[in-house]
Amino acid sequence: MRLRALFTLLLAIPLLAACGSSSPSADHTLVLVTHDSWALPKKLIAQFEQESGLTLEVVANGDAGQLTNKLVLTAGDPLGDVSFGVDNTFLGRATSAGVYDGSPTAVDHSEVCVDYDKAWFAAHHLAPPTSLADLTEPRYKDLMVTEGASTSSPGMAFLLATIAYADRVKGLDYSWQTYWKALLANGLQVDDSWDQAFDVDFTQGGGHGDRPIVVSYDSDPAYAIEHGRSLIGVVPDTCFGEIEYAGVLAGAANPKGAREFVHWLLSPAVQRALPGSMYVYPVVKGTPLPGSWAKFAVQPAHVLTVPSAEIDENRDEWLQQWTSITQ
Amino acid sequence: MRRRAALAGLAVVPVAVLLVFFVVPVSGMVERGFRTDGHWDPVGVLDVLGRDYVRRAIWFTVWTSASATAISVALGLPAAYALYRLTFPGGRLLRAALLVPFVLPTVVVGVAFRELLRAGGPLGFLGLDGTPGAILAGMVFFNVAVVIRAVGAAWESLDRRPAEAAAALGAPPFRVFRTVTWPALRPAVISSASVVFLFCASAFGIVLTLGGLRYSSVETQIYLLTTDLLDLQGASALSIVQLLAVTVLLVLAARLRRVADPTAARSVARPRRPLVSDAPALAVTALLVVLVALPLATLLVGSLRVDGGWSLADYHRLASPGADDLLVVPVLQSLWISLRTALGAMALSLTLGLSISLVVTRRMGTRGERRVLAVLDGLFMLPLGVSAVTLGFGLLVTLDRAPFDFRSAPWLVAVAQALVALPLVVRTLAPVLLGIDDRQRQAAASLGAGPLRRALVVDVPVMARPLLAAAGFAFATSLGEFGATSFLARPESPTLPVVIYRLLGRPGADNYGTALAASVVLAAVTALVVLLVDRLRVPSLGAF
Amino acid sequence: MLMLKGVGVAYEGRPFVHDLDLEVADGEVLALLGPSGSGKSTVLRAIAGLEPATGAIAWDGRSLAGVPTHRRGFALMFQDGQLFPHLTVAANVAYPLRLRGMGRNARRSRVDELLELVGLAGYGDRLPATLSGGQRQRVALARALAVEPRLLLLDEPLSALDAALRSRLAHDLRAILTESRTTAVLVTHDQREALVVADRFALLDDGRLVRAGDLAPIRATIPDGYLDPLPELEQ
Repeated sequence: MRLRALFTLLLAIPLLAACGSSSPSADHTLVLVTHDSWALPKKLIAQFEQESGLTLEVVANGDAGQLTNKLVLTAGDPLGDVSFGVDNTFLGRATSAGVYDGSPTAVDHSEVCVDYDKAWFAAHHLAPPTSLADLTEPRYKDLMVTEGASTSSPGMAFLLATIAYADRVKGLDYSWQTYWKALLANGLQVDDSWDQAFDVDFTQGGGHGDRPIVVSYDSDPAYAIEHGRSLIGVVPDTCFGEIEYAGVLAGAANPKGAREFVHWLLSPAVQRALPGSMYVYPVVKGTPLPGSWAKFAVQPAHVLTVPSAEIDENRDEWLQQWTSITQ
Repeated sequence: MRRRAALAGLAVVPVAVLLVFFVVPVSGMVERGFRTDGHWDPVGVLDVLGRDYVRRAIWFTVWTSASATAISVALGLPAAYALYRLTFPGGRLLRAALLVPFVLPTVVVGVAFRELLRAGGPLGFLGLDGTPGAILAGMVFFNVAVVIRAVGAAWESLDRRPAEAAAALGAPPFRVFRTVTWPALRPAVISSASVVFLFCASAFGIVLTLGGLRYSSVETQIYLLTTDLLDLQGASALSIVQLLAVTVLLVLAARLRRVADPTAARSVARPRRPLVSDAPALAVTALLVVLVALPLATLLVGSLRVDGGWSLADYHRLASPGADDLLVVPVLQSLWISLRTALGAMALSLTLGLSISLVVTRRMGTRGERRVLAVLDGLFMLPLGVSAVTLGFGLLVTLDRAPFDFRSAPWLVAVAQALVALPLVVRTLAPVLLGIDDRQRQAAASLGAGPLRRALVVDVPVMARPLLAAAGFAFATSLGEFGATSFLARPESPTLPVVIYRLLGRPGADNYGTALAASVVLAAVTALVVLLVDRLRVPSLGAF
Repeated sequence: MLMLKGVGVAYEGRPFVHDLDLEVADGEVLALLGPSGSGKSTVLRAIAGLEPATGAIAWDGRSLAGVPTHRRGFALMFQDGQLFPHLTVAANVAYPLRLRGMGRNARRSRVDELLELVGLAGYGDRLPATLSGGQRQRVALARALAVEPRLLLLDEPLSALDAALRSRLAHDLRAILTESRTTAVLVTHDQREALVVADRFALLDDGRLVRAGDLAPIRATIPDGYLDPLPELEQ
């Protein structure tokens, strides 16, 4: 008899746990839906919670693309109150699906650029590349690694850079498809993610790979300092601008708190913390940058862009073409 | 009648869990794909299946999964023999260590393999980087432990008398294996092979990372269609392909698994010291250990090298919260969170798995009843073969209405992990349960034991070792599960695989080193826990 | 002829059998008697080569040390559980014949001969699971005798059977062994069985030989009819 009771109890645990499932956001909870690169100092968050009287609950997983898709699939009946992390390449998809209540606000920006290993080029007595066109030159054969546009957000950004480049070289016989074919003919390696490209294949990455040219971020020079100088450089005119947005979700349980949160993201304290915690630049002009960034990070003079609506419209086609070129 | 009621009672909770947390979400996602602009459009879905890239993806999936399964079985059988029938120093440790690949997040395994295989790496001369060969190596690395553990557990509890009689009749050792042992082991081999096949067919991290984006399988296609393009129509079509393929596989496996009725009391052999004649099996095992150890060694070496020298700096960083409070929790704390979640998932999958195993291995009178049990058995294997992406998104999309508003529940991660571990548990326990002579249960019944007590008195004691094997499996699987759970709510309590993943995504040699150190710690803790579980002696439950 | 001299068997350092001396002449049946735990089965397994043993085990003067089980030519029979469940009765009995490369026709006739010998003619196509315990033991016996083994090792072959069947099979076993002139070692805890089947006995206790001797004189002292097969209660 005892045995039966024990067994039934064991089986019932899941059900009992289910009864204690989460309650919808009350007036003093704020649920943030974001991607897994979300990080802000605990002190700042504690400050926000104290000043606003809200408890912040963070739902963070996936990358910007997965985040966008989650929001789109749950539009109208959202997972939380406010979202942070949809970027300009996905904004069109999010807004046309009615994810936001009102228009989203830009919070930070970063640039995906072609970086190179200064030390390697010096040691091999080779002048580093100075433009996108250079990357197809024979002297840079087998030296570059990039992430795939279909599986990586910097990869997608680089593809968009090469598409936007067409505007820069107006008049010349340039198509991004031909450019990619030339890159591949020049020994370009395509990895599935930034970790692989940077950590494993890049010569300045943790794994000390073989490729001294990598598609990464303009803030990377701040992370490879030796004897007061940066070992990583940025190839000019290869940068694609990425902007991250925050916005109140349509159908949120706590829209007031959500608006407060978005406002708080633009406050000086948060903007100042962005580079150190999320490796991005503050969007508010005049915000002081951390020492290493101020000294070593390279802010490009010119940034390539493609309008969000255009990206949304052509994304499928561009990706399919890119996939058939690279496979 | 009472018997049927008791069986139904035992099956109710697992079936309910499967329905709510798997069937509903998956069909929800698939159904969405059938609707274009609001109206029902099945033709569009079928259209996708005719496309060229889809056919190529299906072929690629089939041949890589089949090859990886064949290799895993070929290497796993001798290793199961060496590790479960022979006893030698370090054998237990090896058994536990072979489960380590299970818990490592794919992202770390990808890094380890590529460090080895890339052009400038130690195994670069093999030229495997970015080829299907690397993908196969990765699949075997992850999955060979499934074969070894399941077959080993069965081999351990095999009645030794037919084999001894055959030897005495003049059959040399290999003949004995072929004609006597193999027919008895076949159910366990087929079971574990089908699980391995499903794991390989639904792998996507391995295919993407090691194949250099050049190859696509059904799973990677679903992943790209859903997460990149939000092309739910295409994803639905492919999900249906997956479901069909899994069903076919399960039917085939069930046919091959059929075993003759077992005899009465078992006489089980104690493991013995190795003899010269065991050399081939030991050699294969050694080879396997080297293959599995190489990537792990790469991680270890990487975590100990700092700026060209050797240092424990990365390990020291594990305990600290990290500069500027970057990581929400210190790495060691997230290890604790991982262990906690995995233990919960393990308990859940063991309980549900044991219930299901008990139900589906009952010998039923009528054909109809037998068919119901067979269907139930197959149903629980489905979570393995269906895309984690479909399930993950499906959970978000469907579990949003009370009383099933679970999508933000913190325990959903444990449930998702349990669903993936459950088939492994069932496949480990079912073959052993099938081998128990029904007369023992009949004897118990005649003594007044109801169906539940009969199960506990007769079946569960025999199950002690397989239960431990299953527990080890479930724990390791839950600890390293990343696919489905990467879509679920994880507020402020990231598991260790997630933390490792985040560390790898940040620049700076420090973060890379810390990620590797964390992976080594994860691996070591897993091996330790599994070793402890293996050592547990389940006390005899016969005293009722 | 089988000879054991100073034989000992140990498990994990603990000795189970100490310093045993035994002899079995050709055509003779020796019964190994003793309480449970006395080491009888262990001795049998050591003779079969299934347990490592110290001391000398020799057949016809040649030492069996280092000779693996499948080359000793000693057939083994257990209480139960030794038939191959996935093969029919005929296939089970034919197994050792196939091992020795006997042709199909020769196999078939020998199998028929053996099944006839053990009283199971016509049962060839049945599966072991469909047979009763006694029938299974007969199949096992037929299989063991199939290749006329030098030595037949029987480990409590009748203990799993009911009393009437046991006593009847004991007589059958005796008849078959004598007719085929098979040398055999029979482990049993049933003294009546020993009296019916064997010629000589060896009594073991706690791994040591306590007494050995001839059974014929003891048989002579037993009243007539005492050892006859027990009557069947139903027909």
